[in-house]
Formats: sequence, structure tokens, C-alpha cells
Amino acid sequence: MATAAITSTNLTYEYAPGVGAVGLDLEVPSGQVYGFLGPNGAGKSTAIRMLTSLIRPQSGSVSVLGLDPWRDAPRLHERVGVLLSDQPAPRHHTGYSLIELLAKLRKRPEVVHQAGRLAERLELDLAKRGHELSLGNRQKLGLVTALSHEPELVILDEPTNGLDPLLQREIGLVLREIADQGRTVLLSSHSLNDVEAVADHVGFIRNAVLVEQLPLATLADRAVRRVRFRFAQAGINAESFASIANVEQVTVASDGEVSVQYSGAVGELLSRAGELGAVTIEAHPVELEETFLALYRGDDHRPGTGGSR
Amino acid sequence: MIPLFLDLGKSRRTLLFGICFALLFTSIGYLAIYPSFEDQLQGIAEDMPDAYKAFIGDADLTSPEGYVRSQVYSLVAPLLIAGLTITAGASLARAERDQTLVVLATSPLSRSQLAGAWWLYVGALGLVGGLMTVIGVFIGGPLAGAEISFGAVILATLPMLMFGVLVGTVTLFASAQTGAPGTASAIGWVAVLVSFLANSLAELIESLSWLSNVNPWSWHGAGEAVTGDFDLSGFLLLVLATAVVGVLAIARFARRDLHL
Repeated sequence: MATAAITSTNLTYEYAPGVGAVGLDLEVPSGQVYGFLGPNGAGKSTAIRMLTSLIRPQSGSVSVLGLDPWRDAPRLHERVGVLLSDQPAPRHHTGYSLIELLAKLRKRPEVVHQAGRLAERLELDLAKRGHELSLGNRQKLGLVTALSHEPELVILDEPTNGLDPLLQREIGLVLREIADQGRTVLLSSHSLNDVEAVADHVGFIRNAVLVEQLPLATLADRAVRRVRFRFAQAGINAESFASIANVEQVTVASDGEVSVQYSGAVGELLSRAGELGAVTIEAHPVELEETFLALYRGDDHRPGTGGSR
Repeated sequence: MIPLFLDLGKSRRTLLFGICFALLFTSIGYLAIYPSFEDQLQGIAEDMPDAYKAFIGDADLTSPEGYVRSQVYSLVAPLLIAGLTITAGASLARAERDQTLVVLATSPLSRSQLAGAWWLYVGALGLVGGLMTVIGVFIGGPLAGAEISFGAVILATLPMLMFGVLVGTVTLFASAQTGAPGTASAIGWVAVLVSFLANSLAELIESLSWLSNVNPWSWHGAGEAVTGDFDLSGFLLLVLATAVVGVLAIARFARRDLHL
């Protein structure tokens, strides 16, 4: 496994019992896109605030690019780019003036040129003032300020909020390029679709606790998938499929179509469909959302690869 | 830190320009109208109870120089300079409340540098307020018939602008402590009001006279240098108190969780 850009042990910040982030054992591999997933209010933003020096962990330890985010904040911020959830743009700044200010604070004048190129790619007008920008354009400006100094680590909290699908795809491409250059991305989202296309590794957080973290490829093995069979004759019994060990759900439609949700190997399922006279099969893409829900369903504690608590 | 300090001047500039112009033109206006009611004012001042005189600052309203002290240095200038510095001090909390602090808090500036830039901003606005006062008195003084040297205007203004910087720094500390702009502004204004009242009470009630030794309003002397001597010890106390509160504000901001 590659070295870790972020490691934490028992990292905790609680606003109230069970609210915040509790006992996180994060391990974000270098040079990869790490999808940090969880429902709204699960604790993603609290964790990110600890990683970016905004709040001090109440207990536990954390290392970001080998540095302590609280003690070494200025040195760390030279190497990290951050976009928080729904980050506003300063009212009195245009995009240009904000980028110029940040370039001066970073003592890196070349950042202005890089920001201009990225803004062009994201179709952002840098001449507008903060209060003139729509939600989507504020997000774009936040991305430009987070990425233009080419940081070793990019931490993005819900970066595609307010962006249309084409731009979401473009952001995904930008993030993949960053990872391909050997840099690391921590991408927080409540939308699994956002993460699925770009992540190499994912971590799930729920009710302030990191439930599981694993490579996306491993997740794919556990993923809940759905196939739909059409049979020559109606009257297929749901029980015919439900008895297979890795089948989770069977739905029989009135027109004879059978929808089966399963995880793991597909061999036995296909054999059974063949025996029953399946005519067509339609496979749906991996439903990360359902996998996510399956991981969460009914248990607050599920041991897994590298998971905590 | 300097680029940030320079940038802070661009925020809320309409409000700040407004306060500066109000300070300049109110000072000149107050002084310009003095000759038109100087005679009546003398009669009013003679009949005025001593306690009330003490309450409004104990300046001699019958002389143009005393009028400058009572209207500009005891009223208009301290309030409007405090308006500038309190606005500056509370803007740190405002930036936290509206989340625009994120880009700065995740830049390579340390928290101490961030708060330090804001402190410089408070000081700069105090200086601008002082400059407006100097210009206002320099132009308005002759209109009121006051004979005040330029040096005396400077010496009268210095402690007053330092008083403004002190209450702005108190506001900055409240910003650093709470992250709540309304609370921070309120604390700044309460500091001004309590300080003013304590000064008046110390003049009126003998058993409370000790208050004048510990009260920043008393330290700034309400333009004493216009008609008397420059109180160096009061000025130094203001500088010292500002330095202590400023260091505390920076230390607090460096250690507090930011709710961004």
C-alpha cells in the first residue's frame, strides 16, 4: 500500500455526545482520491475541520502530510488546498482580487496565472464580485482558490454542490488528474455517485463514527448489484431466487420480469436463471448507494478493513 | 500579514468613509456655529449646576477652547473614532460568522498573524479618525475663535485616538473570544459607555474618585492639551492597556476553535 497522506488514531471532536466525529482511525493513501462518504450530519465536516486546523481535536492524534494540523498549521497550509462545504466568497472581492491576495499571502505570484487557466476551464468569470456569484460559481471560485497553488493534498467538502452534471464531470476529471500527478485528494460527499467515478479508496462515516474504509475495488466485490431477467413464460416464483445465499432481494413484476438484488459472485444466480428459461438479462451499474445503505443497515458497528469502532 | 492588513481596508469602506466624513464635518460644523450662540452659552454655563457640568466633562463652555474640548474631544470625536475602531474590531468576528474567514484561516498565515493584521487594522482606523479630528479642529477651531496651536491639536488628539484604539482592541478581543460580531460590538460600546459614566461619577462622588485612576476615559483627558498640559502618563497607560488587551486577543484567537 502507498504511504498515507493522512493518518489519524482515535481522532475525536464532539459538540455533544455522539455529535461530531468520534474515534476516527483514518488512513488516506497518498496519490489517490479518497471518497469520504456519509449522510448529512454524520461528522464529515467536523473531521475535515480537524484536518485543516480550524478546530483542535479533543482527543486522539492526526498527521497530515507528516505534520500536526494544529501545531504546524501555516506550514501545512502551504501544501494543502481546502474547500469547505458551502464556502462563501468574500463580498468585497472579485475572483481576481481574491486570488491575487492569496498569491501574495502564499508568496507565489505564479498562482494567479494557474488560477486563470483553471477558471477558464471551469467557465468562471473572475471579474465578478463575491456577492454577484451564484451558488455554483461560488463553488467554482472555491475550487480555483483551493487548487490553483497545486497543493500536495486537496481537501474538498461537498465540492460539487450547486454544479450542473457537466461541471461535476469536469471536476471529477480535474481530481483524477491531480491523483495521476501523485497528489492526494480527500473528497467528502453525501452523494455516492459523485465519489464513485473518481475515488480509489472510500471511507464511510455514520453517526460520528467511521464505519469502514476500503479500496473501491474491494467495495465493488461487496457491492450490491441488480439484474433484471425476462422469462419466456410468466409465473416465476420469487423463492426460486431468494433461496440463493447471496441474493438480497427479489421482485417479481406482473409482466413476468424478475428483478434480483445480490452481492458477490453471480454464477449460481445465472445458472438458476438459465434453468428457469431466462430470455434476456439486463445488468445495472454498481449501486454504491445501495451498498452504502447495506453497510449501514441496522448496525452502528460493522468491522471491516481498517474500519474504526 | 501586510497584504491582508491592506486588504482589510477595502471591506466595509463605504461605512468607514461615512464615519470619517461625519467626524470631519460634524467637528467643523459644531465649531463653526459657536460664535452665533457664544453669548447665550455663557449665560447658560453660569446657571448650569456644577454637578451637571461635571457630568458632561467639566469643560469651560464660555471659552472657544473649552467649547472645542466639550464638543469635539468629549463627544463627537471619541464616539466616532470608537465607531471606526469598534467596526474594525468586530469585523474579525463578522468574517468568521459569514464564513469568509475560511480562505484566510486555511492560508499559510498563522492565527496570530491573522489576528495581528486585524489589530493593525484597528490601529489604522484609529489613526484615520485622529487625522480627521486634527483636520476638523484645525479648520473649525479658528471658525469658533479658538486659538489652538497645531502642536496642541496633535497632543490633544493623540490620547483620544489611543482611547479609540483601546476600545477597538477590546472589541477585537471579544471577537477573538466569541466569534460573534454583535456581541463583540456590544462589548466595545459598553466599554465606551461605562468608561464615560465612570469618569462623570468620579468627578461627582468623592468616594468614587479613585475611578479616574483606572478609567481609560479619564486617561485620555478629553483634549486636555488644548487648554492645559499634555498628560503623558494617561497616554502611556492607554498604550499599555491597548498592548495588553491586543496580545490577549491574539493569544485567544490563536487557541480557539473556529466555527467555519
